[in-house]
Amino acid sequence: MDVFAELLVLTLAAGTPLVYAALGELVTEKSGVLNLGVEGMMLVGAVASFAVAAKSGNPWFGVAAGIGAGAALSLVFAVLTLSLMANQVATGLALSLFGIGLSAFVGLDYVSVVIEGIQPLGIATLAGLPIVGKIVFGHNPLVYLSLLLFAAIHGFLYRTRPGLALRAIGESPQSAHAIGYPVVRIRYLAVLFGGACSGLAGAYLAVAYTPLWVEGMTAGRGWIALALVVFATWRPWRVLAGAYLFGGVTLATFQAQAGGVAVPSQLLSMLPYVATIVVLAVISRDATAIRLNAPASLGRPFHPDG
Amino acid sequence: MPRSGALGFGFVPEERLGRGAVPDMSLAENTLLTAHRHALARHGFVRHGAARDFALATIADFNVKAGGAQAVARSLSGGNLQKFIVGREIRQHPRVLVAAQPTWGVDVGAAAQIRQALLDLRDAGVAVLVISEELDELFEICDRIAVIAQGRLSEARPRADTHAGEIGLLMSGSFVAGGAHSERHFSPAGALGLD
Amino acid sequence: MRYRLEPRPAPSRAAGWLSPFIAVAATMLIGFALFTALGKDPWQAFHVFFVKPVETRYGVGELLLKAGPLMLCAVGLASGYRANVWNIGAEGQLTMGAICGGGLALLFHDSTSLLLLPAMIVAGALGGMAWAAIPALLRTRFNANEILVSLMLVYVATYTLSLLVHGPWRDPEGFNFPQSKMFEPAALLPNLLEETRLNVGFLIALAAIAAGWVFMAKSLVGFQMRVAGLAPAAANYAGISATRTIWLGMLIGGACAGVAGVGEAAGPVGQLQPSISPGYGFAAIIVAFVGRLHPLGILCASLLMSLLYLGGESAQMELALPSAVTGLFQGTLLFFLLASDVFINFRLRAARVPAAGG
Repeated sequence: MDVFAELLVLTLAAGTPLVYAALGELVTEKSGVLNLGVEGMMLVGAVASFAVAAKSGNPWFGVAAGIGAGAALSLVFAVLTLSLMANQVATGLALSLFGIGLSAFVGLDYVSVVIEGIQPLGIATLAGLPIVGKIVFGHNPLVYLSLLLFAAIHGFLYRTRPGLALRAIGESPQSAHAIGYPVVRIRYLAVLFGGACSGLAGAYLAVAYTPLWVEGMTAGRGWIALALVVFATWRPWRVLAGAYLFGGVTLATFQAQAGGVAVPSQLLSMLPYVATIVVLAVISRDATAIRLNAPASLGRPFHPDG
Repeated sequence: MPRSGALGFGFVPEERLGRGAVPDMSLAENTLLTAHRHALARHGFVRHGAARDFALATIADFNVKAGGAQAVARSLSGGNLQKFIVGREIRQHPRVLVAAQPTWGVDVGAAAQIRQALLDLRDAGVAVLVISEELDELFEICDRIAVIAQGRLSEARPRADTHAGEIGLLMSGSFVAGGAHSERHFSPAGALGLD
Repeated sequence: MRYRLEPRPAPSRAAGWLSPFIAVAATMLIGFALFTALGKDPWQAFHVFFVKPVETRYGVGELLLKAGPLMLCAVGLASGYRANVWNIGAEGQLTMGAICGGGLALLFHDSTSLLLLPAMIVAGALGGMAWAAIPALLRTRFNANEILVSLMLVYVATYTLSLLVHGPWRDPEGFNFPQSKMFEPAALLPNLLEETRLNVGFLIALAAIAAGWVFMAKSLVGFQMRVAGLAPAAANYAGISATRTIWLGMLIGGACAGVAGVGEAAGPVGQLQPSISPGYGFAAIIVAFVGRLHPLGILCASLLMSLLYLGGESAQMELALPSAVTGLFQGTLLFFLLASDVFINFRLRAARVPAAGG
């Protein structure tokens, strides 16, 4: 049972960056905006958090910096797509390419730097309780925060008026505009929130999960997060489940490699990507479900004058 | 319907901009959309000169007000674009032409011109099917009129033997067994005119 | 005074042509600021970045050598992008092309046949096409998003290459480095210009540009793919098959990227190793956009992008600037391009009535 508890803790830890990034993207997409720049925002969030953590000695300052950096980068996307009507797909790709370049550039000075990362909660006595102790109290604080964020987003989207407005804008910006909702402003906020979450996902990787900085360290997690939103057919609960499922897959490949399984490590490393493709194909196959659940205006620009 | 054009079937869709014409393409290119079979392409290559000439001839024949063959479709007014699309289909000499709402949202002058063009086509021996909800239009140009209501097609009435009141009654579904009030699911009524 | 964007009645051709130049100029300005901020003399840095690399004959050869794969990948991607087929996995298709073409070179390692090289190129094209066929199939059969699938396959291709050069294809006399044997001359692209590394792969790239131009500007299928990209409903009305459009867009991109992969393996690299391209497949996305999805524009944009690669290397040597600055410039360039593209469909107007509280 202890092994089981250990695995559960590790799975949650591996799934958490996906939870942050995919939930943030979910909110952005619910407003009708498709931001393909998650990978870039995660990387910039990661490098910013690592740099600030290394300079200040406080990983929490790093987390704040990661959130800020992700949001700042998403602001560029928002200005281009929401104010200047640029193509969302092309701009999102640009954001990812830019983020990869920027993070590599900034991160050069930090490649072999060691920092004190954010440690799992030290509620020593409680975590020491048999089985339950580890499962309930043994996580990193950022893992608890991601669960809080999930609850907050779920509540916001389905229990509040602003959440309803956000979803309405994603379905039909024209109608929402007609009844007086500030479409562009709300979309700005949704994009910024998504950017902040991606930045936080990167920060988690850089100052809590690993903690170190390696060029391209997100290894496609931003893209997997995008796929997760589709898998989840735009529903927060399924995003959460999917993120932990993929956390489990990633973990399994690490464990198999560490355990010396007689399979080449490259085959194991491919597994999360192949799994993403397979699940994406299986879920997307039901075109009606995708069409019914996807925000109707997803990816389309909105200009008040038509 | 890849081969329908080759069989002499022409179609004017309801939606002008986005379906009948590509908004951001020139009229010459929009000609290629359906008319490429008519010597506008050879061995898989587009003959841009021929496409331009075809577009210019359409513009001249149908009195389309446009800034030449290179004007983009969305720069035209609704009526002029509709004339261009109808003209493009007619100039391909179809044997059957289906026109859906051919004068929807079109100014009076252009509408009259389009109706006359359809009549001329009828006189040339082409089967023309007009789908419309404007009864005045149908009575003006059709030889026979049929109605679709609640998913059923009525028999076609010669125009001379019917009047708007009767067609209106048919549109309410009176010819469907069980009458108008037994319908279980709503389907919009519409009338078909056969030239 | 407030300004607002007003839709133009027709897209502006002039703005479309100007936009890449505005983007390049704006990127230069950012570069100027960046170099200054890093404590370098910006004029000297510009010289090192943009002039120094092409001062020598060898440098010009390198410029063209790197422009080749960018051109190939970008012209293939552009034919898909015009049809709204978003293949962003050219890097993976390039890698798969290198695996297939390079695999042939290893299989017939001692061959001196003149047919080996053409066979490798065909194998590379087929490899790239096969890799691009996966997203095409999943998109047309299962409605799966081709952006995500093609990108995931980049990682799979990279790990496949790594697996091969760490395992079965590793050179037994290579001191255990993860590399294949060096290719023999019959499997290498002949040199084109003395005292440089430029090879005939560049001619293949130029041919692809020419073929791309004919395809996009002159062929009926190319026209129909553009219709599918601009107005899907009109394509449906005109009887243009959406499935065929997706397949064509993907396969053309895959074939071009696959040939680019062979060009790297049988050209400057000369063997298979874990990394066959410095991100040409991704940079080509930027090249395609900066080149306005037009083959001639792509020709110019790939030379510019190649110069950015060389400039990055040169800046690393001369100014101790990290070569990662190249990636930064690439991304910045694309941002500015997308921003200045707004003026194609909109124009700036001074708002007459100042908005209250705005």
